[in-house]
Amino acid sequence: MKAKNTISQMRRGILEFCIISLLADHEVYTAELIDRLKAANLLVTDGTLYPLLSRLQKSDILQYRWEESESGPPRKYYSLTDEGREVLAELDLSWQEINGSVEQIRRGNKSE
Amino acid sequence: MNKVISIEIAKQVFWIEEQGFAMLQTYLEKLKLQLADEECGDEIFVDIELRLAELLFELDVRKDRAITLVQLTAIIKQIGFIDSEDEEVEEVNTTAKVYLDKQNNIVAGVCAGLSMRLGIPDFILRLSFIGLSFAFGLGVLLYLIFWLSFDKNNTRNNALAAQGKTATAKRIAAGAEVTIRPFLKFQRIIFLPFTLLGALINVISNSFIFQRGIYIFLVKNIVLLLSIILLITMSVGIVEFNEDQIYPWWLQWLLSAATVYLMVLLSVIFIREHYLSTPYIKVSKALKRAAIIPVVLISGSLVFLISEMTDEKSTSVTTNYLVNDKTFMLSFNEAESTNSLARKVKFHLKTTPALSNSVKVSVTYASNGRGELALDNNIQAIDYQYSLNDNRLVMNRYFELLPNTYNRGQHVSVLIELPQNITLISSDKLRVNLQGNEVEYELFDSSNSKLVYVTAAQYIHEKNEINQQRITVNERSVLTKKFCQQFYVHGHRRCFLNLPKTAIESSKLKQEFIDEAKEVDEIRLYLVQNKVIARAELTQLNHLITFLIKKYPNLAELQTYIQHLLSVKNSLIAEKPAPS
Repeated sequence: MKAKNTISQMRRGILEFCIISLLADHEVYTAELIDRLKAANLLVTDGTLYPLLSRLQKSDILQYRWEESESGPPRKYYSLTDEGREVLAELDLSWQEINGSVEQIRRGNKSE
Repeated sequence: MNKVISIEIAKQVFWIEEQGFAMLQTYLEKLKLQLADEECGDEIFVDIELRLAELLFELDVRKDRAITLVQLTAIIKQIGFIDSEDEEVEEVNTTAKVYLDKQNNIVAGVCAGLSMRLGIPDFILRLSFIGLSFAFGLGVLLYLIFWLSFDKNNTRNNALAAQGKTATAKRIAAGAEVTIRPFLKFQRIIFLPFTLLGALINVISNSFIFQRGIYIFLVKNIVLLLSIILLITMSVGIVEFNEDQIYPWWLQWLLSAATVYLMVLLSVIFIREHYLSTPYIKVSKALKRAAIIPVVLISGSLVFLISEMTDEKSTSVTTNYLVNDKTFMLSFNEAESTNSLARKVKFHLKTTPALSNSVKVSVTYASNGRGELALDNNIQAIDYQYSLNDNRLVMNRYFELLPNTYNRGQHVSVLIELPQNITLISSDKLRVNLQGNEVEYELFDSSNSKLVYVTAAQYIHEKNEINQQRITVNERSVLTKKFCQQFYVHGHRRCFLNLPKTAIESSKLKQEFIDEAKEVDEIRLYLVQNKVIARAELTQLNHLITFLIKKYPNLAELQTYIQHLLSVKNSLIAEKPAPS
């Protein structure tokens, strides 16, 4: 139970970074985004994603456009803004740093 | 067999089983509640609906087959609620609140809400509120205060908020609804009058909310009509009103013009800005500001009028007239024309103990005004006619004001003082005035026949054949007053109304007469309303009083009057053969 809580918090922190990373090269529509996050085991319920997307879009990191689908409901395609790209570069850098630090500590622990 | 409902989500039509539809509805409702606090709640809701449509579309059901409950449950589980993953993190206990519980209400849900918060059975709370109401309405007062102060927000989160818990998705999904109280129906029957009151309040408040537009429309129209009618009457009224010569003519016309202007302006503003709400035409500010001029004029004239009335003065003209033959005649004239300026004159008549032939007539002229000069002018403006000759006083019932003078509340009163033993012949009825200590008579109403009165001591007595044998209205009034003054604590009027009650019942009987209540009642029975008091009964009354007076010498005044009445009646009978 305690572990579950920690995992949930970790996932929450990483989720935002992962969404931005997924959008790095090309635009992705919502369903695809959900599928990929689920495949990576980062998302349990779809509902969690929507407030996050809305927040990112409000802080000008994401933008979206509508595309009518030949069959089925219209799709919302998300992509990064210029500002989003800058944020991504920053996040990438700090992720590598954090990752390095964590690895270093864990390796140190094991070698002791 | 299953009933199937078609729904449209994100422009896509789906067929859903009835049960599934109900579940979907509840789910979307809960989601909306959750999103209510979110900043872009509406957008997120649209996104989630879209996702729902996508997932339903992916099921790839053929158009002739409906989406089943199982399929829908899976989809709802997949989408979940927006914060279902981190509710443990966000768990914050808030201060417990009290809500009006509209589902378990009898009147407004105050008791049910309190019960939800405090955990005390609502039945007990209701009983205590009713109980407290008997303590100077404390219960009602407390109820009203609680009603106004409790949170009115009626959502399913109330039950949680009342416990001070955050409404998290899981809790909401778990159906944290306000539960219907046990025995609610039973309580609604027990407190039936309150239930009906509650239902009535509910109907009224609902109809007000739904039909607010109609109410506002009605109020607008009524206000518009009333203000226009009021101003029309004012603008016409000032001319009419000034027949009374309150203002100089030029001020009258100025005021009329001001009210007419104000009326037109108000109508225009009202119609443009309220009545014709679409298209909205604003009246120019200069025009609105101009309304100050008539307002200042009208209020200024009122202030002028009040300041013109601050002082008072009265002057009297007294005439002493010698009467021959011990007969004096009074006659009153109606106003010659229906002049709007005519005001009633007050007449008073009293007798003087002196045995002389001199009748004293004092006419008092009084007026308000400001300054000696104005006061004198105002009194001079009074036009009152009366004549005194041939043993006859002829008076106008009304006085008027001379043309081109101002009305400053002038009034006229006439006091006639008659010596004793004069026969008075009056064209109008005179009625005794019991207000003061002195016995005074005033003009009551006009009668067609001539009324003959005789003056005796400080009283006047009607003189005709019937009244020699019984007590007249005036005599009876004086008698009752004296009786009440002697035996009862409170004033004449109160005693007079209490007369049908026995002396003990009325509880206003003076303490000293408690033992004599029987005798007091005997006297009282002669005086009760609608009873004719014959001359013979006066003798009996006299005996009763004589009996009492041995013990209570202060009853002498009542006895004096009874004996006075007896002597007057006797002397009238003795006189009777003379004229015939």
